[in-house]
Amino acid sequence: MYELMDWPLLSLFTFAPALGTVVVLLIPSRRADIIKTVASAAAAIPMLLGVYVFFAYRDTGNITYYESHKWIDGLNVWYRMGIDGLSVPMIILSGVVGFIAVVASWGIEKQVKGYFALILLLLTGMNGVFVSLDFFLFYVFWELMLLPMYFLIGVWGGPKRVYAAIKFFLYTMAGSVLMLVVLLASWYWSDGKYLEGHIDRKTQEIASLVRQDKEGAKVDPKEISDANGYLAAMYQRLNDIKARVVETRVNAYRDVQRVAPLGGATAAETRRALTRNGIDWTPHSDDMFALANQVDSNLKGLPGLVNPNNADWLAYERTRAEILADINLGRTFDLSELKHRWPLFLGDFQLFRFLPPMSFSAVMFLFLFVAFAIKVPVFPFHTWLPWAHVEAPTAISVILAGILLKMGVYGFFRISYSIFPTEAVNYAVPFAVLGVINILYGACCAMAQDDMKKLVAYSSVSHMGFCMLGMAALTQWGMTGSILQMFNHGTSTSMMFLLVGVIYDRAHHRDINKFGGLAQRLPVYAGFMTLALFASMGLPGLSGFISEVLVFLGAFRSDMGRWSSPSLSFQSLTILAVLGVVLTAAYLLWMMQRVFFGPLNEKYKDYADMNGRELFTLVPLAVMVIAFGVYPQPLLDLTSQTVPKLGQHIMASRGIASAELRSVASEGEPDAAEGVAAHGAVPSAPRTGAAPQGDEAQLEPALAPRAEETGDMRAWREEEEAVLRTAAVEREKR
Amino acid sequence: MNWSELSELLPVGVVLAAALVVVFLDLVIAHKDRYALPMVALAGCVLGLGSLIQNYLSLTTYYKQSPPWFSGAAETAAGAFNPLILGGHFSIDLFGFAIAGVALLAGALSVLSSAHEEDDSALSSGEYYGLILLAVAGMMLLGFAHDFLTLLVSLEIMSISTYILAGSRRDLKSGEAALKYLVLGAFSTAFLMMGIAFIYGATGKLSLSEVLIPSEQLVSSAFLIRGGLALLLVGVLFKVGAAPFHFWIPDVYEGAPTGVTGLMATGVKAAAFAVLGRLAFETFGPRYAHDWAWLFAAAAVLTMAVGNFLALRQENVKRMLAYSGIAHTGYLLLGFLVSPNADGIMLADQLQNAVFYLLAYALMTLGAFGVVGLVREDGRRLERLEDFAGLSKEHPGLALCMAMFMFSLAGLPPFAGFFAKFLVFKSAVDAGYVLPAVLGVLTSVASMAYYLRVVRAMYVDPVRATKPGEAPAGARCRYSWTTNLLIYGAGLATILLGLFPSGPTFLLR
Repeated sequence: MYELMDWPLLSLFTFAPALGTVVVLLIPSRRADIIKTVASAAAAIPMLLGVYVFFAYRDTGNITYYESHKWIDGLNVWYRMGIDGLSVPMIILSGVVGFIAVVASWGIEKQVKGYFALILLLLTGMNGVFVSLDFFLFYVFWELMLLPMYFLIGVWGGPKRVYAAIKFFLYTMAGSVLMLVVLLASWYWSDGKYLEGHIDRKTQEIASLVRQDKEGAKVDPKEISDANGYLAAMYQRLNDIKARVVETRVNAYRDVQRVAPLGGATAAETRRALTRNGIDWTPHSDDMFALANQVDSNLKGLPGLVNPNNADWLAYERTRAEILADINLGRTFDLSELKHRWPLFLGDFQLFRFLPPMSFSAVMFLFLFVAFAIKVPVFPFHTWLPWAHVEAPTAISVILAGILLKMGVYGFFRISYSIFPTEAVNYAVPFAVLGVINILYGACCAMAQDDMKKLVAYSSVSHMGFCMLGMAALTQWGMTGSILQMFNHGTSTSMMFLLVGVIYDRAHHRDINKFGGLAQRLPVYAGFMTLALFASMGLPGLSGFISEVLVFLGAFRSDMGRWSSPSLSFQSLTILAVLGVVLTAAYLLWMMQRVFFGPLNEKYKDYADMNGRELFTLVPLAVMVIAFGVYPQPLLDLTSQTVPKLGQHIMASRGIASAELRSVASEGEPDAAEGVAAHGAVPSAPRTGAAPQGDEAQLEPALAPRAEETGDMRAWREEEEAVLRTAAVEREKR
Repeated sequence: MNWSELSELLPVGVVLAAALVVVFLDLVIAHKDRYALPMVALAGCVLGLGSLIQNYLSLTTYYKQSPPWFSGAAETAAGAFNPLILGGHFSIDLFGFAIAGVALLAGALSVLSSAHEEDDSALSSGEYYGLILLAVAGMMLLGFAHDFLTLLVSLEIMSISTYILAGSRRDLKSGEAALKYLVLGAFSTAFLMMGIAFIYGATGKLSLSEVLIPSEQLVSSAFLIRGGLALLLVGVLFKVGAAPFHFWIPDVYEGAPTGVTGLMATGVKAAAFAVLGRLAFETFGPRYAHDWAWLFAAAAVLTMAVGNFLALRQENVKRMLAYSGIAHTGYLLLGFLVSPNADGIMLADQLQNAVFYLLAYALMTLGAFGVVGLVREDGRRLERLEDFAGLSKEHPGLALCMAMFMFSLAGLPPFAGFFAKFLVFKSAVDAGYVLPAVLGVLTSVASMAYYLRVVRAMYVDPVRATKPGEAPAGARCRYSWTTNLLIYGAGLATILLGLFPSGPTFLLR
């Protein structure tokens, strides 16, 4: 009996469209109708899976639907896929909007085969980005999406398509290269060798300070003790990471042991099982195997094991210490593992000899910022967007605005904030400033447009600013609002682009000033447009409202940056951002007035209202816009555990990385963890002391560091047990 | 010397025999049956590959372990694999097997892409295919060569065959290419020979791995050895086409028949890199890394820059591919930088990465030249960028493959070229040469511009009317099933190698 859980659900979600590409390429090009049907069917599979996940997913903050296979041996690249609260809203959006975009392309008549083959390939790239948990895989999907997009704009676009396509390609490529640099650099640093070198240098510095002190030079004793404290903290971090890795592996062995019948699994079986579950067992595997056996046999016999007088326990501790002393962390691309290795990225880093050394994580964070900011797009990097959106065919604009822009913000959440949490705190204020610039600048630009499509494109710039602001706030509400805003903007802006496409199909132009009074002749069209505009404006009862409110509430409560620049606090930034709502209402209502009301332009009096296919693409989006506007709770539930967990991860890092590094190491972590637990709010700044109390205190108590693995291991152990049970039953039958 | 060891060179013998068969077959068969000649040549390559694999398998079974990556990495214990045969003239190691494999592949594919040239009598003659096979035999020998004498002889077998091949089309450009190639090639061989003479004079040794073993002579005649090594390196850098010795490449590639160009760009390059690899890993090794690796690094950076930036301005696709080949030589050079504290495992790793690059580069380049060779109009060959306009409409399959080759050459995932570049950059960083690797990544981004121009021409650019008054039609290709086989095969391999980059190494286990 198969349940859907047993299927490689996410691989199917990702590669069903790619399979569709192959099938489409095999159909002769004169059978356009069959091509369109096959393409729609292939795009429907991710949509159905997305809907299934929406109903089946219960957020625990852990990775579910995990798949992992070894992919490239020498580089330790794995094919890892999984979803948590960050990706679930995105895969629902990507499934639904992708399908709608394919259906909306039925009107394409030029080179139908090529078009549908490419759009399906594009869907594969997008879906893959949202589910991959390996940095390398993420990068491959990110690049995979670039090529079809170039062709789709360059071949099927509007009059200036070549320029738009090249511009899009070059901008994205520039970002990708920076991401590639981060990919490689963090891989190289993930084995801790560089941190060890950093510790060595620091030790030498201290030694020379002490020497100077002995020789009579005036050295501030505080300087030495500070440096010692820093060094101790560094050691502590390195050892914590190593201990975590050892613990993960030992626990994995024990889990294998527990399910094995009679006397434990053999080493080979264990390795096989571990490989299947994505656990790297390479160094010290036999030691750890022995260790796991030791612990297990001890646990059976002695209840009070943790006892300094117990010889077995001492032996266990000794073995563990030996492993810890020379364990090789190994380089990894695994995002959920890199997330725990962030202290390794704190060391000094010199890009070139003539530059002053900087913090490695700061450099990497800035590189990643450019890579993702181009995609979002954040203010100075946004100039490709109006071109690409305006020149692309309708369905491609829908995908661009509905999904592609979200990949940037998703990348910030999934990679930048997880791997470099200390920088997320350091750069919170600049991020928020950029977000506010996006909101206001995008809205002002939108107001100046005569082209409907360009107006919608700039409104996207403005709306993505809300995502940036909420994300930068680092509060639970802010981040939840940011994710929700991505989803809601995805649905409402897709509607708007589809509607602009509808009128363009009839009038063959998009000049706002040339329309007028359309509501008299096209009432259904006007109704849908009004709904989309109001949703985008953030009218209460429609989807945009709740996400914008959450962003504002979250940002207003954030105390990021308060200690560094009181005048540029999140409070003042939020007040500025709220002005954006007024501007949004202004340009959208003004557009509506010019297009739908006033005297009817006689040229357009014969236009037919929307046809069946157009309604088919718009109704699901409209339903979502209204439903999630009235009752957003299902969407909020999707992220209810993941977001606080990410917040804790960031805040815990801050507690250690900033001021506490200078104090004694042992006080660092518990302090931060207690801070989170006690104040309840994510932004508990140890420096400022007074953290905001209040209704954001919905956080889970601090979770054990290996919660993720145990979650996975449990699911996998159940599977293993089931297999063994069937085997036992069969044996009995014989 | 144990003459039975000659059997380990059987693959080379098979190819040589096939060369003779092709030449004599041409004398006895009727003119209309000439289409059989390329098939015989192809069979020779395939049999050679089969014999190579058989050799590998039997060696592995005999020694119960796979050969070492190069002779320096072999264990010295009794019963361990000893790759040196025939008194140390040849080294039967994995590097040699890989180079020979790439050479055979390049030979087979360039036979496939030449088989449609029946209109040109010189290109369909037995001598043409015989020379291709001879060149391939020379490349295979170069892969295994382990002392200066065998190295020089194999190099000349390969080079002289290619000089003639470059001039095998009877027109002015082809003749010019052949003459240029001959003169400059001879020039570089002279450098090489002079270098070898110096070194032999100073040390009295010819074995690649022994000449630089520290000894008294090495100290007393240091000047002679330094001079010899410098001359040697000039010769080798000339052969691989690294800047500043790259000037012959665009002219020769443009003038030679397209099938031969493909062979020169891949097989000859792989063989030349075999020499470079042996020098870098066996002769110098980590011991002398301080002395020469910076030189390679400088050459690599210069080559990447020159190749990529000159390619930007080219209007002729073949010429553009020639400059791109120069750029790829630069990337490959990065794979041969050795760290002073490298151990055998790391060196083997680096060699493996470089070989992967050579394989991936051979596939995509031969595929691209295959497409270029097909585009023509009224029997005229067309090579200019604008002649490719509309190829996607007339021949969607070929255009798709060409686009894939371009993206792969540019290094976009998920194609083979991405992993190839990734691996050599990793090699360079591992060896401690971060700056050259970073510059490599940057020039690789710049290269996107000219590869994209080809794709743009095929897919986006408007088609111009070829004759006034006629409706515009896209670029037309001549149909040839052999070349189509080559192109689609290479296209498939480019994708598969990109998706499963550990495939080739998996086969070696």
